[in-house]
Amino acid sequence: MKKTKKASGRTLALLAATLIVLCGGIIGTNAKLTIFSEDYIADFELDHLQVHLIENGTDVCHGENVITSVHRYDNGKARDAKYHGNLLEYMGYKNDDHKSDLSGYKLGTPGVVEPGRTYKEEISAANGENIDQYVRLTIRKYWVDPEGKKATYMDPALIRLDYKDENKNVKAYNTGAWQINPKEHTPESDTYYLTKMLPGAESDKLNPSALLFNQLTIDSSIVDDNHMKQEEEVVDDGDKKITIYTYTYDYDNYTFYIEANVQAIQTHNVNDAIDSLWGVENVSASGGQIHVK
Amino acid sequence: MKKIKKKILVIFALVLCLSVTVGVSLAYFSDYEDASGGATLNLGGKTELKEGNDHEEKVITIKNTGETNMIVRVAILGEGVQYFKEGNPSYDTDDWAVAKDSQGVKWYYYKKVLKPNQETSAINAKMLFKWEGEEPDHSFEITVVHESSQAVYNGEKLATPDGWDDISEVIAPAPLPGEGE
Repeated sequence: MKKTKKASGRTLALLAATLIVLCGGIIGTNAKLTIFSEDYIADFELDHLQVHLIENGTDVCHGENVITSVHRYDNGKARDAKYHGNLLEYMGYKNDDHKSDLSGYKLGTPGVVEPGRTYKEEISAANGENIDQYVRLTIRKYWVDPEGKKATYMDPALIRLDYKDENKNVKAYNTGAWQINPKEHTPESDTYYLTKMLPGAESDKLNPSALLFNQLTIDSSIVDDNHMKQEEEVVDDGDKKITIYTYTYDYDNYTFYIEANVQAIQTHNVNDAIDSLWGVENVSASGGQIHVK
Repeated sequence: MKKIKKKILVIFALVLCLSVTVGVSLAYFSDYEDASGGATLNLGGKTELKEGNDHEEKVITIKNTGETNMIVRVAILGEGVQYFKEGNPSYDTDDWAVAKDSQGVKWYYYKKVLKPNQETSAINAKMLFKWEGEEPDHSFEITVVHESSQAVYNGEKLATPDGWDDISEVIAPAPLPGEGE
């Protein structure tokens, strides 16, 4: 009997140790304990991040015109099916009530995008939760020929996203708020890091970042004389002489595509998170800022 | 003794399970969203120059019979253009602007972007049939030269096609979609 009692003491000590380990673990997860005093209900609410892609003031992935796709959350775990946004849906529209003018002008309608013309295309991120986050945004651009095949011989740089500042200077992107990572550059894509930490939003509101781009242009060189043929035909119709001029261009019916992917990570243990989730060696964070070396 | 060992084993198993759970929950928090979109370019153009068959009187119009916005200009050349009837060629100055190029050729620029199925107002060019003094001893024939180009932009202003003089202040850009006329 005596031996049994001594053993119970050790068991209790082990149990206590287990509880200490457990508590330490729970604190480490940044969990939040909310206690409702009347009903004595304890509710664990795990903080999580929520980042949104914003185009021309519209939450791209939560608008009306969306298709479902898997939305990743918490270190790669799939959560409920969410939305994959249709980019460029609101390109070029200057009025606030975007949708009223869509009919007849929706993108993809032939002739709406004119070579060399600058269209409003404001792209940014937004924090949708009440905890801070670091953000990066990857943009991919490419061409597809009329048969639906990717036209790798066409330069993605002809699809120009850039940033016009308040002094009307046009820059490749908003260098005052974002940093490009040259080590992640490919001919089709670039990744930009929001320099400052994006603070958490008030409840039910989004906290938008500074714009990364604010305009889109299809370079006019795709319609220069090297890519154009002209034909002339004279039709004599009684008392009318009609001359028909026809111009054809090499890149007629080509489609340009833009893909945007915005990612956010936590601010605590951020350098470990950068290594683990983003896998970039030349990016680090400290003092509320991201540094791209 | 066996019971004690069993208890200890159970406790260790519990600790092991819990530490695995805690380990997973320590994974980094992250989130992402993505979106994509594209637009097909419609390039090319078609215009019809109508001028009639009368060599001494021309009623010149241009129609956009293609699917893209066009800019157009015409020059009226030929033998005896100095014998145009007074006030000719006549045209609506709201629609047409006249400018000489570096070669001295007088071009008539349609001041608006010509949209598909739109036609310009007419330029009327009539020759003078009576003149003072001796009748000129050569025949008259008006030749209309027409040039057009798909509307191409340089930012917010229209770009000048190769071989044309600067049209950025002559032809007004078409309104952007959603801006209305």
